[in-house]
Amino acid sequence: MEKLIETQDLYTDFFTFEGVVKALNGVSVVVNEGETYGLVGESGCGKSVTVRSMMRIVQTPGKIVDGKVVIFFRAEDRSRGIDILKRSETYMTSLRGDSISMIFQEASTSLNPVLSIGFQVGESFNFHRRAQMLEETIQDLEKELAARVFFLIRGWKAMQRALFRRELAVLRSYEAEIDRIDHELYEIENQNDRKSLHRKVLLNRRRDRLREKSFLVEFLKRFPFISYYQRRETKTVRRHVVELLRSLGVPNPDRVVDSYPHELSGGMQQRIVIAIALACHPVLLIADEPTSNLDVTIQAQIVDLIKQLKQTKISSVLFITHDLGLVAEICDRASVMYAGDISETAEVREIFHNPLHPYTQGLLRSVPKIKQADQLNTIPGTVPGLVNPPSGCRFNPRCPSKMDICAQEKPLLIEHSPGHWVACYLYTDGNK
Amino acid sequence: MSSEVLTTDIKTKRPSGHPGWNEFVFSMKRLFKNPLTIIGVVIILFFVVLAVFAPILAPPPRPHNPFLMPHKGWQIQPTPPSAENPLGTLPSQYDILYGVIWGSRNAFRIGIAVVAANLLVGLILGSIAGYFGGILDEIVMRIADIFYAIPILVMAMALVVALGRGLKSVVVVLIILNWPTYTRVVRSEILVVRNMDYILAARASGASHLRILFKHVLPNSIFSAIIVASMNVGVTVLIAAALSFLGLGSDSGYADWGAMVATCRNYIVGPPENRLAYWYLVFIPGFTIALFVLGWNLLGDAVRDVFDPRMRRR
Amino acid sequence: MKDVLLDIRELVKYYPVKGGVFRRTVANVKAVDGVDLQIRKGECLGLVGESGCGKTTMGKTILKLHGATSGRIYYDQHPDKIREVEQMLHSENASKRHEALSRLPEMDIVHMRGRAVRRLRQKVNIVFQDPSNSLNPRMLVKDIVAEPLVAQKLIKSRDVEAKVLDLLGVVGMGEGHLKRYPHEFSGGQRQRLAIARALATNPNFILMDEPTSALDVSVQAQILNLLKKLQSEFQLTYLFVTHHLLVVKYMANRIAVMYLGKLVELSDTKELFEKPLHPYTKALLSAIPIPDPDTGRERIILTGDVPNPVDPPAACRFHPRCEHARDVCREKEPKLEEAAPDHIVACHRWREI
Repeated sequence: MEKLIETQDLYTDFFTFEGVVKALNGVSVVVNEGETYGLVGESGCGKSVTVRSMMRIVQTPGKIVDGKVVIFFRAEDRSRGIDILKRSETYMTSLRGDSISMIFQEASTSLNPVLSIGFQVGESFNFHRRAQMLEETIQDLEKELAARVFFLIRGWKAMQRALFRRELAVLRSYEAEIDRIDHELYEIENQNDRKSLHRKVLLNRRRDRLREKSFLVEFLKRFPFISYYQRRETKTVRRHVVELLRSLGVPNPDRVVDSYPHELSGGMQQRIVIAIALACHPVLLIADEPTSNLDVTIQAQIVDLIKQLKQTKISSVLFITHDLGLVAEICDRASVMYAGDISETAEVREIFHNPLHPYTQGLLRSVPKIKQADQLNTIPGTVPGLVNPPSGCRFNPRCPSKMDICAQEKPLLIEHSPGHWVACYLYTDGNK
Repeated sequence: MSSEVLTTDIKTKRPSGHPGWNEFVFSMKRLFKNPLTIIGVVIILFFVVLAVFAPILAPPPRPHNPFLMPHKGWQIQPTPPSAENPLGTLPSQYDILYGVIWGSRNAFRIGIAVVAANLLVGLILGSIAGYFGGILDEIVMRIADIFYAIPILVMAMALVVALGRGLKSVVVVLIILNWPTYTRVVRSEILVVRNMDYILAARASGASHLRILFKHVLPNSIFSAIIVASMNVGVTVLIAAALSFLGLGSDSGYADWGAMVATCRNYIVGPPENRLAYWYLVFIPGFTIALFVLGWNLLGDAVRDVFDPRMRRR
Repeated sequence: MKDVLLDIRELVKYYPVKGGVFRRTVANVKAVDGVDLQIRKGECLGLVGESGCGKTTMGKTILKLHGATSGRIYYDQHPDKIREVEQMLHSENASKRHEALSRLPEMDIVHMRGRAVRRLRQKVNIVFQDPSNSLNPRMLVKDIVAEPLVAQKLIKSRDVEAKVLDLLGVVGMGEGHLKRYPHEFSGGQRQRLAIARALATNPNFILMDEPTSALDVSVQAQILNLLKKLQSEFQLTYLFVTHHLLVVKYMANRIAVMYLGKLVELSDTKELFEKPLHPYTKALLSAIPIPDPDTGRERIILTGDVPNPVDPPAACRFHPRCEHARDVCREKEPKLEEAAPDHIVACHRWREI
């Protein structure tokens, strides 16, 4: 399987009043194409911080202090990948929503209560697929102009078409220039001599300064009468939005498009959020506990939906949750995180039937199951604060199999059996 | 099981002592990290010193009524700062320095009296409206609306006619002006706190409404009111000064900053050759008022920063 | 026949929706719409259902945290007395009904007043879902845990500290925790404090309103084990309200399933999981994520959203989403019938499905 996105030894710190919270302690995650990857852990373990670091949307006072996040799907050379931590913010904005999308836990707060659904879903189209929208609008206008029309209206439509054509031309040249710059940045990415660094800075700066809109059109837009022409584009976008909602199983998409978030139920809101995320056919969908606040039956619907979509629209899903049952249901592979470390990474079946790390074992024992024979076993102690985390392996104070070395040095992730990685001294050097 | 729970979770080392005091110390430390806070506190301390040590700094010529400013003569023309009168004199030769020093006492009196009374009224009426709700809420809120609708000047003039001139009327006017604000603030906090689970838990534990109100609801809802209060002290003094300037406050010759500016009405702009001849008349009392208000505003900001739950980040 | 601690008859709780210029009641949110339920002494009864089903409302009505629209909740009464009063209430004779009503205030939580209510509060208590909300952030732990005793003047102030230490020891916390504020503790510890508070007056009955839903998985296990231990140690009766079916399977002896304000199925835990009869129960069970990748079970995905309790569907409330619905389901409301010993279900077609 091909790698899609990878983090290598990611360190993220939060610089708070009470001290530096070392949220991520060298996290390495690999998501392959076409798989559903689960990130499991309790609250505070750093799963949200990991994906936010991957998308570079860590909230202040957090900062990514070390490591790499490498994407392979936009690279010309599939084996090398692009380190997106080194790219500019404009590069990231073109990536988010287009190739990598994220959905969050609370659907009701993910949607803006004063904007209609159509507007919010359309934002993705407007930002990432503008060229396509403009082309379709122009085509529609051509068709309308070909029919016999009253001459004033004819003039109006012709003006619309001219303005759209101009916008499209500017947009196209902008995109071509961006591609050229990106290509060059990719070529010199790994060169670190002074000249290359200087060139990189220049290129990034130029990339940020490029304008995708034409001055003439922007100027004309300021006139009240002329600015109405933009509504034409909204019609095209609306068509796409309605189709998208219909494909996600939203009943009455024409009405829903004009309604507002508070008029919809929780499950429906979450579908809209998914629609926004999927509008541009992303390669990776990151779901940060999307069903934690929903009822069980609605959760089943959403999970079903995501499974269906994986076959048609998305390539991979990165699913964050604390619910082991969900992991067993949707995920192909999973990582278990504890206090900023990855404890274990394996195929889901392996994790449930053959858990290696003591934390994973403890976690599985403390979850109530259908065939629960006796008492739930608990893991003694509590999750440590991350301002002064335990040294070495962060789980060592609570570990039943603790050894001396555990408190001294952090164990690295090693491949115990093919595809099954674990970070524990119990499994190093023949210490089975 | 109990020992394991103890050892791994006390979050930060805490010095021994009453936890309430520790919280206070923590808040103070947070407060003083901000340089603006320090400036605000310094300004207020400065005025406190002026007010407390007024008898020493500016000995009153008439001890039984120290607020009457001294004047060595009856000269109408104000004189600029000189050795004899370090800040100059007002028309009728009242000493400005004396006025500024004793005026600070007055400012504190007015500010604190008004704000304290407003807090009291606001807490009582706000609790009734917020906690008991229903028709009591409606009544209190509609009365508050009526008071909001009365224009301040009309109210001030009416009260001055009724109660006579002087600071007393000003204080009453200011209390009447502001009590709806405090009531609303307290009421909205109570409306939020009322739905918290710990209130329900108190009810389930058998607490009476009065106990819930005093022990659970009020301690959690006064913070917004305190923030508003600390910011309002300065504004109150400002409005009092404005009212005095308009002639609705103290008489001339009274050591009140607004009254001082009031007596200089005719001298704000000087003779055509020298428009700024009497700059000190407006500038000195005006600057004092502005400094006072600034100090309280900064302090209010700092208080809000400390008490705002979002910024506490614990 | 086991002793019944709480006997709930025809409980109804509507929330009026006010609208229009004159704030008249235009509709009612029918949170609980006629529920009959018996909670036996010493058992843990699980109450499950999704949002809008009325389980939380029912719990709070039992605690008399809000009044009921109608119905009766008999607390610790002899079954013969209850039968007698119920017969009188439903009789044709108006004076009999009147007499029954006058006897209710001593027997029935809904109609209790005054001192009886205060006595009730010593015997029943509640543990809430969100421990960060259920403890007063401005009070010390000592005062929070002692609140039920102090509020009802059951203890002298010099005995408070000793008693609180006692209670803290029961839930696994210690002396160092007395003089602190709630925000200094983690979620699991706060929930322990809430439990200690609930135990302060030696109650018989504790309502658990989703006590572990806001907690992490490993902490949840600790709290659940603690609750089980306390139940056997103090002979408590629990009403365990939750939406998490695996948790309720671990904790409860019997489980009641609610949907849109009505009870749809009630049975022994084991039997409910092995032989669910109501289609909604079946869908709920199949929707639970199971922590085992090899279950390979059939999933019943319900269509549509949970309907609004303001305007519940007529007749059987589940019929719009039920794949087995027939005409009879759309016309007549199903009554609770006994399908097996100690297993009741409200469905017209349970035999065929």
